[in-house]
Amino acid sequence: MPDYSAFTFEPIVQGLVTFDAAGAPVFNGRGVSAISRVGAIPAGAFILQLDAGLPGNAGAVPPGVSPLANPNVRTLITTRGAGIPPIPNIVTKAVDYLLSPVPGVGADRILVVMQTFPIALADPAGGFEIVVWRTS
Amino acid sequence: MTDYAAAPIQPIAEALLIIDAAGNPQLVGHGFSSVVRVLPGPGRFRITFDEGVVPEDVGSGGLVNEPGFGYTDGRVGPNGVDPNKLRVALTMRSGTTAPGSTTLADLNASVSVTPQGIQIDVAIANFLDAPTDPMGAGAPNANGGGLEIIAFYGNATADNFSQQLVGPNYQPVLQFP
Repeated sequence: MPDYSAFTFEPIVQGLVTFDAAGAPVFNGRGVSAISRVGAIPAGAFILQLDAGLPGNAGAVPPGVSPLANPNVRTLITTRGAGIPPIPNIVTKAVDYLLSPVPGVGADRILVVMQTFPIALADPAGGFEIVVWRTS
Repeated sequence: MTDYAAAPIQPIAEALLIIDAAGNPQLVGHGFSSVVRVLPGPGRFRITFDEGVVPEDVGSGGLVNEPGFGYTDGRVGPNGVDPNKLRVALTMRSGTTAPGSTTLADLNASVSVTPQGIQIDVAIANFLDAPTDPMGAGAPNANGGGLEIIAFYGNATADNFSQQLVGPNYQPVLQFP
């Protein structure tokens, strides 16, 4: 088929985040070495640590300058509902890229924040899917 | 590795939509040529694809290599990716409210066919359905830190039923001697 891919655009992370019996987030996929909640926030905020090596190389997400911080990374998040039909409970989703304190490394962690309505931080009932692409 | 790519789809454009210090929308990425506000006020943007000389020229006609449908070398011709084959993903970047939430809840994209080509109309609104920009002028605000946009081209074709599968689970047709 014709090739319409005119630029480098490669997935560096793909996975499904679920919750274990204790309610802790669990990452199932590629490109992320660890996942945790943000400090003492009990729900709705997660930090995904990129693999130190390829793929998901933290160095593959170069830093930018405000307001163009991290201009070369794109993320897609899809929440999963629960039940039949799978009722969703999330109304807002946001992603950010957290810079490593090591100069020149770039972003090595991904912050994901979700809210339900009325607005409050909340975990997605069935977890969430995440794909991260790196472009040039 | 095993090839599971049964549904070819390719990225043809991606960008981070931000608002500059003057309050105007800007794109940083590939495959798009411009962004403008559709209406005065926030949260409504019209994004035009590159056209003409690059493969992501969705500006062109269909895939049919005929007059009026694109270039003779097979590229998609001026102004027209098939809107039915366009797939758009929108993701908000974190705002300034700790720990990094956004107020944008409704992220919508539609495809417009105009004399200027194929364009994406992006309409975003907060959780109260009020049109809202993805960030402040020149900096993230409580609403967000920009909008990530990815456009894929789903090069869909009809399912390949032309090959008859033969085996215990695939009887092409009932045949009797």
